[in-house]
Amino acid sequence: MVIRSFTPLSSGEKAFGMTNLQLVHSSVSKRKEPSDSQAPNTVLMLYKPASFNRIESLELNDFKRIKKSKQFEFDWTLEKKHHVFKIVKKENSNSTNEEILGLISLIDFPSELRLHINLIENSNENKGKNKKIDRIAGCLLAFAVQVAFEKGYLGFASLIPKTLLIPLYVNKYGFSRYGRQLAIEKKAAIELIQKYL
Amino acid sequence: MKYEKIYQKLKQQFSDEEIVDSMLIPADLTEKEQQELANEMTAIRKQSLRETTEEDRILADVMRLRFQMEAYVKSDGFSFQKTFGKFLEEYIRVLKKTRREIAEDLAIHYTKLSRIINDKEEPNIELSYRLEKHSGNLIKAETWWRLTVKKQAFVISKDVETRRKEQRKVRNYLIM
Repeated sequence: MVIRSFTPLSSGEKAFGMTNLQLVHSSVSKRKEPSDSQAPNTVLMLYKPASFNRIESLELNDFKRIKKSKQFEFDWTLEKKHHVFKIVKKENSNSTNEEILGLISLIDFPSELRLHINLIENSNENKGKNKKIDRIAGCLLAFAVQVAFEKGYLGFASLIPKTLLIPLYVNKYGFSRYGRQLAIEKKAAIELIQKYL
Repeated sequence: MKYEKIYQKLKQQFSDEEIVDSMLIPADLTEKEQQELANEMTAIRKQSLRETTEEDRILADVMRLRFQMEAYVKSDGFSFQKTFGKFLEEYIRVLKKTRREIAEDLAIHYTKLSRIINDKEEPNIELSYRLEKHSGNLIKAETWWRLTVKKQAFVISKDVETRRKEQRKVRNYLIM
């Protein structure tokens, strides 16, 4: 169904900044879900509407920067042929200094109305118990689903994780199993967006 | 086995939950396996599209509309083609309802709704709250309201005549 009289979106080129990333106190191992009325003291909401943090398309010179930073385990240069996005933290709107918090690689299958999530990775300092910021991977997954809605795919996004980890992606993010593959769409996809964006 | 190697390295530092919390490690697949899974997914997708209901399509279109509104609200420009009224009109079309039905749903007079859609009248904050609820919280009241604020900001910046007229009434103003 095409929405009349509105310019079609090309999310790949659009930046946005309303995701609900959270800054995690290093001493807190288990985070409570914050609510608007009662946010725990140890959790700060980062990506509020006034935030300058964004998800943006990766530029060519970013690949070199990523490799040099030693903040990522995967070889992201291998993803150049796909659509790669970065989630960045900026101090203010004019800031040229940005910190890449995480990366996602997407493959578009327009004939199947499907977006495939090929790879996701948080920067090393945002992995594990001592991570600085929580929910980065969730925001990136939700972003992929957003693009899948914008493209008219009913939010359909697939991934093929390592078999051992499949139950964890199902439980944490609401993906459904299709044999060795996982996918999310429709209401489950909306729930993921509502939780993370 | 490039991903397995990375997984084993990470396993020395992190639990599986922590790994899932911070990355997607893909399965290492042979070319044959990749092809098999690709065929399997094509079939899954066809089946899923066949099972799509009208409700699924409406929800998906509401989500698309929400992203269009959010993108517009965050953009710098203003357009009379993207006002609260225009987006409301689009919202009603996406839901496949009539204006009269929506007016009843929102407990608002039909004429008032039409005036808002046609940009003859500005909406109040209460309508934004009602629309948030009506959309199943998919489109936030703040997003609706920012459309109004964006229009007001533009109008204020351009309305030289009203500015002059109103400022003539001011006495004892500060002089810089």
